[in-house]
Amino acid sequence: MRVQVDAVKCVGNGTCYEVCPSVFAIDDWGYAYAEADGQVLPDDEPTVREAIQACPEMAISIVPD
Amino acid sequence: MTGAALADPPLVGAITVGGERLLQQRCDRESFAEYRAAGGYRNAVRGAGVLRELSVAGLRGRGGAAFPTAIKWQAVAERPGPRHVVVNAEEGEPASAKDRWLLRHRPHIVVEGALAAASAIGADTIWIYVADRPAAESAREAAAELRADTSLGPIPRINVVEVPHTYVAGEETSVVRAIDGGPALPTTKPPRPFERGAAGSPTLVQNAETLAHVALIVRSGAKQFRGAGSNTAPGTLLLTISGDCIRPGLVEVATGTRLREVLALAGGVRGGGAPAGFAFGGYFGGIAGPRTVDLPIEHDALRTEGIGLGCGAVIVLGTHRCVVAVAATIGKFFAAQSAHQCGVCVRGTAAIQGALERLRGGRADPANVEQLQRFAGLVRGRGACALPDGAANVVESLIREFPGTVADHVGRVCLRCRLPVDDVIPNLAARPVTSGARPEETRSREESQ
Repeated sequence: MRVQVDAVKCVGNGTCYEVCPSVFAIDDWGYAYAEADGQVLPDDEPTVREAIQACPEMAISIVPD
Repeated sequence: MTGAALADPPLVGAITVGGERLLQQRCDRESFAEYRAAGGYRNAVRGAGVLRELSVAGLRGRGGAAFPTAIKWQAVAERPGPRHVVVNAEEGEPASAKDRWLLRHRPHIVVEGALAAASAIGADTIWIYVADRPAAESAREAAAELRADTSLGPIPRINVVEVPHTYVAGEETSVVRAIDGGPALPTTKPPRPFERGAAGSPTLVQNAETLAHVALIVRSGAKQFRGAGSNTAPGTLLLTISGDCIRPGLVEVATGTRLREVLALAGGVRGGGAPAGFAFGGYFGGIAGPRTVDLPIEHDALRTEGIGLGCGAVIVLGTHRCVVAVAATIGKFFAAQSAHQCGVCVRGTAAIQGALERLRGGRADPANVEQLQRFAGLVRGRGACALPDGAANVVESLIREFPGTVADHVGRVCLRCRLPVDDVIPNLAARPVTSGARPEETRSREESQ
């Protein structure tokens, strides 16, 4: 599974980081990005899906293969 | 002082092998009749044959990414129609002038390439997307000349779309957004235009120079095309060489030609001496050191050295230039050209600009240099387009290629940094439209059936 944060939509709420800090990070300006080029380990998948649902801007998506 | 880009650069030389190529020594516009008389619009290869020939030719895109054209075209052709072809001649890199030269002076070689593309992928509409007014007028005239000649049989509709000249307007998603009546601003990918482009249809967005090469490939064959250049990057490419050289202008060279030879065509470094370096790819490719003169001009070879050839714009930096001042000016450019759509781009490019200005002003400490590197890493690969990557490239190339110069600027004022560099780092007058409003006044179309 691979995810990406849409930089156009992200306004820096930080919800994704709060829900899943092992995959999402916050940059120096408060905006979120997915670490490791968005690659998600199987163990993290449930919390990543939670983060996707939790983002108020709907800025996170699963990258199709 | 704001430096101006080369509006209509002269041809200053060519290093090619046999047969006709793209550039001709001319100040006028090649008419339809003239182009036809010289063998134009007589291509025997049409339809799927164009794709086969293109695959053998190994043509790679000349807009900056150097992507293999046959693969790109196949991806559009495989999807259900209707399909569109876009001639992308916007050339957002301010130091590049090759595409506007082609449309101003040899519009039919570009249009013939677009017709071949439309035939290959089964497209019924061609868009010519351009910011330069004389180039747009020349393209409109070419469309009208084609319409007036019935001997070519039915041809696709040809529309000319004019947009403001901004850095992000030439990005492929900006292109389809503007064609659909929106602002010329990038969108998040996927989808890419080959999946969903103009009017929601699969769309081939191809650089103007690339299509001009296609016209020659369908006319003279892949073998002729491969007669110049290297095995992995065959053919010739156009370079816009500017900055501190005696004769700035366009050159056409076989890929793999050494930069030293190109510099000789441009008359050498103005003021003599060795160059301080080169700004590559327009501004996107970063700043390369003097060692670059002995490197082959070819995407892959330069990429392994950390340099981006981009769309082939090379700015020569004379002996007296300070590369830190150049980097700071380019950093300022990227911050100003941000489309203000992505927070990380707005904040990140501004932070990079500020840090580079501190370095230029002698106000940076070692921690600031580390911070600059960190900023570059944080913006890379983010945002709807590659503008943040351009800012990152400038920072990373400066630190990698000129470590001694950077160290000398930490806490120390550089007198050469006080010299303005705007005369070699041209700026753009227009800024991206951020309101989301459609730039109606600058947009026009002409259709030919």
